[in-house]
Amino acid sequence: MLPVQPDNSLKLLFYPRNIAVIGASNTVGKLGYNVFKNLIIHNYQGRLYAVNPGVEYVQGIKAYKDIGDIDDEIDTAIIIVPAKSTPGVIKKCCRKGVKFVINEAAGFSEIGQEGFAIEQEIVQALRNSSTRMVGPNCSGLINTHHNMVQSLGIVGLLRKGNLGVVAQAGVYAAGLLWGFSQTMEFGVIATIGNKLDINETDMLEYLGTDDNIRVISMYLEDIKAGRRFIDVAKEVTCHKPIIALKGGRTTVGLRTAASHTASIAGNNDIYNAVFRQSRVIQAESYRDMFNLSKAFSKQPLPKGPGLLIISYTGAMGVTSTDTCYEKGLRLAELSSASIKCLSQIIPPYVTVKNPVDLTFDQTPAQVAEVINTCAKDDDVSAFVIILQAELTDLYIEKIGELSLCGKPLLISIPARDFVMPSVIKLEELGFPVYDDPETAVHILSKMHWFYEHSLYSKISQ
Amino acid sequence: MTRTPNGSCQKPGKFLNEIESKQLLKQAGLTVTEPFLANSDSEAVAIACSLGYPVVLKVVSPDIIHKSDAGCVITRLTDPEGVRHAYNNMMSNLRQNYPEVAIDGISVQSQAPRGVEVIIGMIRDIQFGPAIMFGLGGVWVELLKDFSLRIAPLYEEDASEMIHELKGFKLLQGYRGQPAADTEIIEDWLLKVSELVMLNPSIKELDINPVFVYPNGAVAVDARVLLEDTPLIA
Repeated sequence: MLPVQPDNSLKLLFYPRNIAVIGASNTVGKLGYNVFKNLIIHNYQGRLYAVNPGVEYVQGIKAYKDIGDIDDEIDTAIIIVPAKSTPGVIKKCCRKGVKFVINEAAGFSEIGQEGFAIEQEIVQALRNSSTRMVGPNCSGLINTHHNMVQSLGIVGLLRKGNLGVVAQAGVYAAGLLWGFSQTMEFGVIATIGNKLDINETDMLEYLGTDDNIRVISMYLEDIKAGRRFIDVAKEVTCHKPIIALKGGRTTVGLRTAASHTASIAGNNDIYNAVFRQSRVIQAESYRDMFNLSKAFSKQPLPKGPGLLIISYTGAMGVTSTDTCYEKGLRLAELSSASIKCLSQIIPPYVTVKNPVDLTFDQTPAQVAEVINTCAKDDDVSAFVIILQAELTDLYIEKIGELSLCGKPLLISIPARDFVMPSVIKLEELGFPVYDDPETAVHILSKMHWFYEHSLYSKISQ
Repeated sequence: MTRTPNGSCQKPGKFLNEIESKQLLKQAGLTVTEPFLANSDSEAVAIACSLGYPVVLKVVSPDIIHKSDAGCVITRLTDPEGVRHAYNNMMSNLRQNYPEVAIDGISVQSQAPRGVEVIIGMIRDIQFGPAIMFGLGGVWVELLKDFSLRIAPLYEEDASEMIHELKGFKLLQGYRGQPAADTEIIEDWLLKVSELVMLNPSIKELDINPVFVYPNGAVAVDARVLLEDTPLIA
């Protein structure tokens, strides 16, 4: 039995004791089929109900003609019916006292005036009821810690993880997930669609309290809650990093420039201010968002700006050093004790300096010894190692045994796309692998920014 | 019609003139060079004599936005003859070049000594509400876009970050032998402006431009406030 939370909490939205799927289907390929299938194959532990007036069973589970016929107090009802039918269905859910409706139908304000009118009808229905709604135009929620997948597309097996994603777009709970779940572990993915009722900030506020979630990533096209977002995000970032990708950054605002200030500060400047003010780490692209999410969820934060780079190539050491200084980090200055130790490890024809260039003779044992030695050096706060793609497999064992003293390590494997099975093994050890070292350094600079600017380091450590 | 703090009436969605705008800022706790309205050249001279020289003459009109571009600001007037001459020149220039524009008169104010020039502004965002802007004056903010922005209400740390994150922050610290500017007073003003706009939803936009910052203290030299048609409560 799951703990019952106060009515005003969204806990039950993420940990429902039962789910009814309105529009559950037996027809392979239909969205109502996919959603129901996902709940079954991911082994959802709560009670599962199908609502479909046309059939007796859906995928082997007894079907009800109407949500009102179910003799149970319903925590979550997922709706997959045509948009124009949703207001009627939602009214029924409200009468039934359903706690949360997940409206996965599409064809609302995103398509124009007709859809907008349907949304207004839904808002009216919800207004006088205790029922809350996610969506419409969303792909439901995933909570791997509750074996729950409500996605519109069939989702393969997911490992349990500490990353929470809040996304305005459904693709984050299906299309993108297959690939990213190879190297990342998700806890919660909440798609929020048109945010007619429950918005991005409500989700964020809840995830801030969920102990299974340690890092939160958000894909946002707007922020419905306005100033409240800043207050909530600032509070959450005291305990958990938040990474946000804002879509529509180049959209021209409707503001007319009457004053000097208005002519200078644009829409994008406002969002930059919002994120800075609330200590949210801003991602530059969807790839950047996942690159950041992975590192924050798997590795500790660097507590200082000093970076040690270990490379088998001088050139990559040089370019990653450039990125290091461009992004506000610096190369660590090794202590004389560290230098003495290193001179025992590295070949005599190589000078001991940072970046440590072990040349093409670099061996896994050398790399491990350099790291274990320098992890004890106070000026080293983070590591980047650059590995030769075709030799990746040789390093897996040694990397799994490193003593990093709580310092982050990111790996760069140029052309890593061609050795993905080996990359996945390193990722499973908890070390994010990027292609170019400049990306790894960029990620560390953001992690360091967060360490310096949020209250996280003061409160959570 | 909206009644403004100094009692004059203003059309909805209109700019307050400089005198009204500065009244509002003064009530919010900022230091301003206070302008006094003159309706004749001899009134201008009388005001100048009581203020002491040097003085500045500016046209007072809700319709003229870029006063200095329009030749409506005359600075560094050091004697009665200069004031009289400037007053009459400005009036004939206005009659000739801007016959349609509403003129409330010409204001006389003390000429503030030059300090580091900064700008403090506010706009209202549809989603987030009032956003406070801070930048270094002149080309810094206009051409180089060197400004910082935060959503009100501001906390002390926000105000401090707004100052420190400017690319030209070194200019405030005393560049090339100049004395350091009083960044504490800027912080204080940013917080006061934040409070002012939080308390007054009717202030739609605000420019305090320029502000002269000195080693000790600061003064708002020019200011413009755009109102919505809801009443002020300051």
